[in-house]
Amino acid sequence: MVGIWQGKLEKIDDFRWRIPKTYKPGMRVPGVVYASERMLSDIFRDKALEQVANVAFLPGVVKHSLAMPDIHWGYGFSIGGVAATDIKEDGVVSPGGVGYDINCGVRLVKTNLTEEDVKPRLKELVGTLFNDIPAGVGSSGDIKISFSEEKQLLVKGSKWAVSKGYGVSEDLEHTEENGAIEGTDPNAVSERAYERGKGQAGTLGSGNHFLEVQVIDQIYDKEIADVFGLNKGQITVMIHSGSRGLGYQICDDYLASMLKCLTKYSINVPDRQLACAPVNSPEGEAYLSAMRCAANYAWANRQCLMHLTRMTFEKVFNRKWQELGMSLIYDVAHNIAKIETHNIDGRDIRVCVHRKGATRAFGPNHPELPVKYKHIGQPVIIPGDMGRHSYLLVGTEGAMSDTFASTCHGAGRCLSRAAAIKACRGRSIDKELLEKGIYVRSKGRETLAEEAPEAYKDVNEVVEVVHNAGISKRVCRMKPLGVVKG
Amino acid sequence: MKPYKLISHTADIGVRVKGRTLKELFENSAFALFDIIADLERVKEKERFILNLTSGNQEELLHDWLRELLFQCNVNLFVCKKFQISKLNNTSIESTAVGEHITSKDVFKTEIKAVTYHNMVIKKEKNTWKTNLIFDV
Repeated sequence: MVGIWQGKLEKIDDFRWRIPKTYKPGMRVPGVVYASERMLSDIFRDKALEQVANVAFLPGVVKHSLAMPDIHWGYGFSIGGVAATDIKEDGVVSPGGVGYDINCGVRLVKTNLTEEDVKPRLKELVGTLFNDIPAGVGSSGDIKISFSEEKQLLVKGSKWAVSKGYGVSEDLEHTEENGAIEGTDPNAVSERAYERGKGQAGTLGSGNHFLEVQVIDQIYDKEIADVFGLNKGQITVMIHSGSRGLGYQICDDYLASMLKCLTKYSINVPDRQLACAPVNSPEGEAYLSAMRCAANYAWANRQCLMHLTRMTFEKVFNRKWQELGMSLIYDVAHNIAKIETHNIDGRDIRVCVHRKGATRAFGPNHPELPVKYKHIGQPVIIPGDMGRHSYLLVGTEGAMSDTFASTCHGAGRCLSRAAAIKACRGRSIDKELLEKGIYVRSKGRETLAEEAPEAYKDVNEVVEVVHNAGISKRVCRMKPLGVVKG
Repeated sequence: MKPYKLISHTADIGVRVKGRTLKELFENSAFALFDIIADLERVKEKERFILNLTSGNQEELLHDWLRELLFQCNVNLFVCKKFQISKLNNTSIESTAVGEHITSKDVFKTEIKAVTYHNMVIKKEKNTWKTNLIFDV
């Protein structure tokens, strides 16, 4: 196997590989990578595994530094990286373990429409979504908020959106943290971040963000699918977006300030991008409270986007969204740091779990699950690329015991944007997709090439790994019909 | 020919920039940033933005300068295509960026979230200044 990364992996089983603690002096714990043997050649292509090893240097890190099968090269942490630090043992929080797009995440909305209902009106539906939902570079929306209102939004998250009429209280029950994580401090957010976030609530953004009309093409677990009220042939809508400019600016601000913490707290990490501070230090606390503001902004944003989607469906199908059965299945974050209790070597401890391109996957009976999902585990929503599939899974006991309740978050890129554009030169990606029955509208001229299906790993393989490794369980698979890209 | 080259990075956009002087390296770096963000042929040299700042060292100065230009673009939609640096040393810069406030959204190509510190080292080899920049997208 020839690649950029030249280290050695030890096989644990068919889906797990270890980077031993001895790989680099300074590693406090080993690294563990979830992948099939076939996927390793892609993973070796960039420096992501070195980043998994580097994360193992973080003060307070417990058990192992993890990588999910959608791993690729990121900033500080790899994308698909998970690590937990013991907050009592001077465990640190690192903005690079969350990323620029704080609470980039995804929500899944069901409908009672079928493929037959939507197919004949697909172009009209996607065209209307494309016109009515602000997207694209630096997009700003119709939802204008004042400075004092933005402060409210950062504390109340989705609850703010619902109080403004953008949704119903049932939506909140089906959102991670009920759409508003506690422990925010709007004063920890810079004026610049406010400035960047001001006009962007209810906007999709660009890049890999999207809104997709999908059809369920495969049910894996009928019993659980019944709890969600999902059947083969049913139409769903998936929304992928984050905290927009506000989150990017908060990450940027705190990366700069945390670089100084490395000296202040005598922290030795092999990469400056792992700049961090103890969770219980003033700097660590300030970052976490600002990060939570951005997380709430993102939940409010996706709540507003769902509202706009419901309004578009009402317009196109001439029926109320309630009659169209458009209730929220779940909304979950992919980029976040959370203080949670996990059992490590027989002891319950409070840890700061960094999920950077990874999804929380609480197993059945976790106290934070909504009543309706308590017995089945937390819904896990995995978007794929625009030409293949997306998945709905649920969290498991295996995730609780092995991965700090975490699983993969998507397909994971395998081509750089430049390489994807090169590979697509002279081709028409929208026509190729249309031949497969997928209608795509995009604001950005280069977005379609950058986001072409071949730029991503096959999400089916990624999901197979997390399912077979027992860290989440497949419920159903969705196929895209219509895609709105920023 | 463009004064920068795209380099491969799985998730983000990387560029390799060169300049005959440190000033030119700074100017070419800013050009690369905005050339990725927008279709610069459609941007006019109508307005000027004066930007003077100080920073800890050469790399941080370049980073902070680009970060400030990016902020102006993200918040005020001010896209620049020409950069005049009147004074530059290792820790301070006096500059003017020339461009315009963009109203037509289709001028934009790529949203850049941030200028990162990733592998950022400024080197002088023979008579050429070089650096690699990674933009988070």
